[in-house]
Amino acid sequence: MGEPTTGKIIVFSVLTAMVIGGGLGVVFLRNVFHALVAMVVCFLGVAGVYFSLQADFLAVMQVLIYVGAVAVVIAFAVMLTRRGTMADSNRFVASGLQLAIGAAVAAGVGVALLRLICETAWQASGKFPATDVTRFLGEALLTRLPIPFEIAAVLLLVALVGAVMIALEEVHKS
Amino acid sequence: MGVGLLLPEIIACMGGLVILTERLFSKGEPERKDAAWFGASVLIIAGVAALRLLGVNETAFHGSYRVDDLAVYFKLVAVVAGAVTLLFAPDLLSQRRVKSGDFAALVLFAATGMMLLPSALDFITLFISLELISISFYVLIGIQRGEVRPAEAGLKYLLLSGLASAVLLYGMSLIYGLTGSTYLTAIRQAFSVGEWPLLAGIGSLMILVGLGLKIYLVPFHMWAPDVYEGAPAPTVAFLAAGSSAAALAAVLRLFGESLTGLSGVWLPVLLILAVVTIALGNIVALPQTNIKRLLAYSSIAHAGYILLAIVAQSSAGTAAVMYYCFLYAITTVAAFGVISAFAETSGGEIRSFAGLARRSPFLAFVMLISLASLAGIPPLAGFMAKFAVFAAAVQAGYVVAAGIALLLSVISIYYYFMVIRAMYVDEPVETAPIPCGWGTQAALLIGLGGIILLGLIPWPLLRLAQEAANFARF
Amino acid sequence: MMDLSCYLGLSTILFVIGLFGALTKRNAIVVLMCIELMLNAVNINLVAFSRFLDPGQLLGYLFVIFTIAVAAAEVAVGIALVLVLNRYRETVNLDDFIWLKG
Repeated sequence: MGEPTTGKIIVFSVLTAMVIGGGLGVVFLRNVFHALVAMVVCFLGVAGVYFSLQADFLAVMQVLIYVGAVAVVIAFAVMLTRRGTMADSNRFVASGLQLAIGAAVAAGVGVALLRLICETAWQASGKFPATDVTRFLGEALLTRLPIPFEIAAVLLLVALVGAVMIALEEVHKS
Repeated sequence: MGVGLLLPEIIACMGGLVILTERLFSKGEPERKDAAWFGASVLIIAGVAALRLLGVNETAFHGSYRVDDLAVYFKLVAVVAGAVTLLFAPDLLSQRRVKSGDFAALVLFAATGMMLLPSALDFITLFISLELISISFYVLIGIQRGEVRPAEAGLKYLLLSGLASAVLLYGMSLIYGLTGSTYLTAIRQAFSVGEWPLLAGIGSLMILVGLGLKIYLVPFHMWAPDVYEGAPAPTVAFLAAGSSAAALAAVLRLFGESLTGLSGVWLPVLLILAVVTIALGNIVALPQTNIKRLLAYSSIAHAGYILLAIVAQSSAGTAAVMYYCFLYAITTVAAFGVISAFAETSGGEIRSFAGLARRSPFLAFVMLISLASLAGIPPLAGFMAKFAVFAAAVQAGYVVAAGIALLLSVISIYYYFMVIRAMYVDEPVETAPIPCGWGTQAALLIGLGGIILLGLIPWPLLRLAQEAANFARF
Repeated sequence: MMDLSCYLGLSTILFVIGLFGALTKRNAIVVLMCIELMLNAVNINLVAFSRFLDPGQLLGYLFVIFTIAVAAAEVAVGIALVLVLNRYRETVNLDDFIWLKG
C-alpha cells in the first residue's frame, strides 16, 4: 500500500473536516436550514471519501441520491412545515434526562467502538479492486444478488405509492 | 429449481401489483371490498405454492437464499396472518374511508417481505427484506387519513425503526469487516474456529438491538403501545402476527445458526433481556385500561417467552419458537378481529366491553377463547405453546428463568380475566347488537377453529415444526 | 493511501454524532437527518472494509447500493408522515406528540 503522501493526508484531512464538521452542524446549529446545509456538506464529504477509496460509482450515486434527492426532499419538508421565523428552530428536547441519556449512550458507544477498532488486528489484503469497478458491480448485481435487486425495486415502489397514500389530500372534498 | 423457489413471493408480489394497477382505473370507492377478497385469495394461492416447497431443502443464488422447511413454515405463518387480516379488514376500513385496495396491496407487499426474510442467507437479502416489511408497515400504520393518531404512530415507528436499522447495519458492517463475507454460511465457518476479537461480539449485539425492535425486546419495545393504540386494528393484527414472526425467523437464522460462535457475548445478554421482557410486559399490562395497549404489553410478554426458547439453543427450542409463532399469530389475529369489529368504534377502553356477551355472544366468545389461549389455559393452543417453550428452557438448564416466566404467566391470567369479566359479568351500557360483516365472521371462525383444534390436536403442527427444526442447520 | 483504521475512526465519529442527535433532537425532520448521518457512517465502514479486506468480491460496495436505496425510501415516507402531522398539529416537534408516553 505504501506510505501515505502529504497530498493524500491533506485530502483526507479536508474530507474528515467536511464529514465531521457537517455532522456536528446538523446536531448543533440552531436553524434547521443551516443544519440542512451542514448535512449537504457532510454528504459531499462522504462522496469524497468514496472517491478516495476508488468507489467512483458509489460517489456519484451518493451525490445524485443524497445531495440531489434526499436533501432536496428534506428542504421541501422544512419549507412546507415552518411557519414564521427560522431562528431557533433546531432545538434539543426539553427533558434534561433524555438529553443526559442520549449523551451517555452516544459517548459509551463511541468510546467502546473506537477502542475496540484500534485493538483489532485487521487482516488487510494487499490487492486492489478490479480496474472497472462499475462493470463489476453491475454484473454482480444481476448474477450474485438478483433477489435483493428485485426486492429493492418493490421497496421503492411501496415507498413512492405509500408516500402518496399517506400525504394525498382528499380531492373531492368540495 | 431456481426461480421456482421464489414462486410464493412472486405470486404475492404480482397480486399487489395487480391491485395497484386496478386502482389506477377505478375510482376506488371505500365501500368496495373486492380488492381485499382478491388479496386474501392471492395469499392463499401463495400459501399453496409454499406448501409445495415443503421438503425441498435447497440453497440457491450463490448461497444467498435457502428454502427449507423452517423457511416454508414461516412463509405459511405470514400467509395465514395476512389472509385472515384481509378477510376482516375491509369492514372497518370502509368506515374509515380507507380504500381496501390500498390496504390489500400493502399487505401483499409486506407479506412478500415476510416470506423472503426467513429464506435470506446473506446480510444484503436479509436487510432489504426486513426493510420491505418495515416500509410497508410505516404506510399501513399511517394510512388512515383524516386523523392525527395514526400518522403520529407511523412517524414514531418510522423514526425508531430507522434508528434500529442504522444500528443493525453498523453491526452487520463490523461482522463483514471481521469475516470478509456477508453470507451467513461463511460467517458461521469463520466464527466456529479460534479466538475472536471483542468487536465481533459488539457487532452481534448491535444486530440484536436492530432486530430487537421488531421482536419487542425490552428496552426497544417503547413503540409498541403507542403504535397499537394509534394504528387501525387490522394493521396491528398483521404487525403483531406477521412482522414479529418473520423477524424471529431472522433471529433464528442469525443467532441460532450463524453467530453461535459468538454466543459467549450475546447469549447472557439475550437471557437477561428475555426475563426482563417477560416481567415488564406482564407487570405493566396490569394497570392498562385500553384493550389495545393491554394487548401491546401482552405481545411484549409473549415475545419474552419466545426469546426464552431461542436462548435454549436447541432444536427443541427452535421447534418451540416456530410452534409458538403460528399459534400466537392466529390468536392475535382473532383477538384483533373482535377489536376491529367492535372496540375501534367505542374508543377501545376495556370498560366499553361491558356486557358484550349479551350484545354479541359470538364476538364475546371469540374474544374469550383468544384471551384464554393467550393466558395459556388448557386445552387451548396457547397452553401447548407455553408448555413447549418452558420444556425447552428447562431442558437447556435455564430452570430459574423458566420458573420466573411461569410465575409471571400466572399473573398474566389476571389482566386477561379482567376483560373477560367485563364482557360476561358487567352490565351493558348500551344494548344495541353489533353489526358484523360476513368477512369478519369468516375470519373469526377461522381463528376460533385454529385455536381450539390446534389445542386439542397439536401433534401435526408440532411434528412439522420439530422436523423443520432438525433440518434447519445449513 | 490512508490506512483502514482512519476510515473506521471517521465513520465511528459520524455514527456517534448521528446517534446523539437522533436520541436528543426535538424536530422530527432533524431526527430523520441524524438517522441519515448514521447510515452514511455505515456506508463509509462498508466501503472501507470492501476496499481493504475484500477487494475480490466487493460485497461492501454492493451492500452500500442497497442501503442508499433504502435510505431514500425511508426519507420519502418519513417526510410524507411529517407533512400530514404538520397539517393537523401545526408542529414538527416530537415533544408535542404522544411521544414516549408508553
